[in-house]
Amino acid sequence: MADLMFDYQFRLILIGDSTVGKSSLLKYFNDGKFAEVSDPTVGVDFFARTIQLPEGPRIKLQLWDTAGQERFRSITKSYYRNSVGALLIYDITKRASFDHIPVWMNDAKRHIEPHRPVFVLVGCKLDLVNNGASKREVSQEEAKQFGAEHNIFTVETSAKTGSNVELAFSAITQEIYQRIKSGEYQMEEGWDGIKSGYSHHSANIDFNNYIEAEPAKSCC
Amino acid sequence: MSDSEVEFQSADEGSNGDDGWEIECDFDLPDADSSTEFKSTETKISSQQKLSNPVETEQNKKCKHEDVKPVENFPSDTSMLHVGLGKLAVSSNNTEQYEECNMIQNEIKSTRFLNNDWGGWSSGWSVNSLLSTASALTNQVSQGITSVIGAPAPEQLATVGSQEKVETFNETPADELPESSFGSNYFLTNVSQITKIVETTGSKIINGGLDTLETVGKKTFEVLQEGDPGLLKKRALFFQNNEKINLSQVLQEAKEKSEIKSQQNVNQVEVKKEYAYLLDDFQGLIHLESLELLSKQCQMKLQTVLLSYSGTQLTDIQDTLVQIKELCDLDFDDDEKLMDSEEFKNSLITCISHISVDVKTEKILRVSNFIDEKLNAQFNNEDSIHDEAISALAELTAAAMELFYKLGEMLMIDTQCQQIIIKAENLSLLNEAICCRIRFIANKYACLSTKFDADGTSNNISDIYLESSNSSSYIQDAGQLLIPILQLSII
Repeated sequence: MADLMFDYQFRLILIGDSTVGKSSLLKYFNDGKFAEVSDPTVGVDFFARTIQLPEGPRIKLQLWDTAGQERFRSITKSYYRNSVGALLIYDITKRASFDHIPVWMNDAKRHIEPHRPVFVLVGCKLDLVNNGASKREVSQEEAKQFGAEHNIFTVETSAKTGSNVELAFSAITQEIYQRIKSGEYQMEEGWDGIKSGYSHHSANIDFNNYIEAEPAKSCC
Repeated sequence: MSDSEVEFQSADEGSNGDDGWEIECDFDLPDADSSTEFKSTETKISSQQKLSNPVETEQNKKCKHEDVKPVENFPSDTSMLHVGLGKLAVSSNNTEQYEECNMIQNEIKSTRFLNNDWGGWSSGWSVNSLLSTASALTNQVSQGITSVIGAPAPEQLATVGSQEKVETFNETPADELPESSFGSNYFLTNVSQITKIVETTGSKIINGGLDTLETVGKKTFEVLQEGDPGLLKKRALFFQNNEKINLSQVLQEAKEKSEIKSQQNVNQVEVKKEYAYLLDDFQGLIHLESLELLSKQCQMKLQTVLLSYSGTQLTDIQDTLVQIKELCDLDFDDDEKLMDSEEFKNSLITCISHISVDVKTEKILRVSNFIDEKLNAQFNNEDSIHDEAISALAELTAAAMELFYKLGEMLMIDTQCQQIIIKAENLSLLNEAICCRIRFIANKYACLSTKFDADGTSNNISDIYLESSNSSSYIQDAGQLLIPILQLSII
């Protein structure tokens, strides 16, 4: 029943190289658990969770977990269009996965057009570096610099300890919500990136009236 | 003066061939009567015109003779004609017009007989006549539209246009007449005259034509929008006719309705969970939606690929596509067949292994087993059986949607196209197995219900069977969505 009460629904997509930890990140966010063994994702998997922003609105996140494998690329591309945000995921112990981030980002930009998606850059497997099991190949500074260049939020997470997982998702949600408030994003017929939730319906009608009242004012 | 005839002819063709008439009639306008009236006018004119056709050819023959003789009473004849033309152009389409047309027609005939010697003229006039025909057509059309739509329309335009035209007629022939007898000189001036006429009439036609088109467009839109702001109803109508509404949309709406209901009931102690809401809750809708997306994409690709084939190659491919579709559409002989969880498991695993080994069956099997466990539990009251039944049906259907979606994904990237026939058959068998399982579950819950003899028992039982048949049809529809994906894989 709790799921019923949300103000907005955002569709987000998780993209990045194969085996960087997209599914594990999502599993922790969804179930609060870490899967020791994880099968490679087939095509696109789907999850949903409702979160509460500090300012009040409840937001249902529809999360698309895409397969990183090249053979699924034609399928995963279909899901870009209806997303409002993309989490760019890389493995901080694997240099190549960070080097491919610009490719993933441009892919998403191109397919989400004409909408301008919100990105966050998420480094995974922080626990492996912290406990010394693996060597870090991507420094925090590099990631920060990339984030500053493209004006996107960056964070390093661990799906095993759960550190920063919540932060990664709430950051992207917060940014999308800000863009709705500033009027950059609007709900559109035929685009599923943002939908108004059930409890928001009455507010939505007011919004339409407001739009219509505007030109009348300027006439007088 | 062949131009006036062409004017009639083209006006006639223009209005009869104009699709606009039928459209206007469909919209049931108050002035619909006048359109029929107008039509009858045109037919009369055209019949008159048949009479004058032979005369025209006769004149053309005579035009070949080179000897040009000035005729004494020519100026008065032409001016008479112009008056007549002016009347015709200005007059609106009431019944008096037929008589006027008659008169003018006779005048034209008589003038022609008198002046059948002004040979050089015809060459100059043929260009002019073309242009004036076109402008007359524009005027006629706009007049016609005005009368039909009943708008305060470009009457001004029509009258001004035709009057100006009459003026041009008056000037040009009168000036030219004396010169025409001087041979070569005549030819040069005539050419410059023609260019002028072409220029002025041409721009008039364009302006008039654009104005008319604009008026037509505006008026049409106004009429269309009458009592239907934003054309919402008409859009809905077209949508209904042209596009099949997506299954996921229907379910989405149903879910929203059930959300409204549950919100209204939120204060009551017991909230009845509805099927569509549960189906969404179990992620059935989102997977169905995704499957629809993939299916549509494949359908589009299929169409594009087919365009590149032709001849026997095309028919061969089309035959194969039809064959695949038929295999997927296998009719089930036994509508009453049931499957317990063990039978279901075996059947499912066999089918999936033939379609795609990468697809996991764990989830749907877990759901199926879990339902079996719940069926063996003790129920306190009859309403809880009903709720459990609806929930079980929704959960299994949702799991089936996910399975079909995963199958769709795997079929899309599959490169082994040799076993396509086996895949299609197994898809159909898989569909049947899931529906049998759904029926089995519905039957079980209905049996449990009958043990209680409460007031709502029969209602609850029919509700369970209703949702069971809904589930089956959703599953079958989802199975259909796999057909284009399967078809695409052979190309």
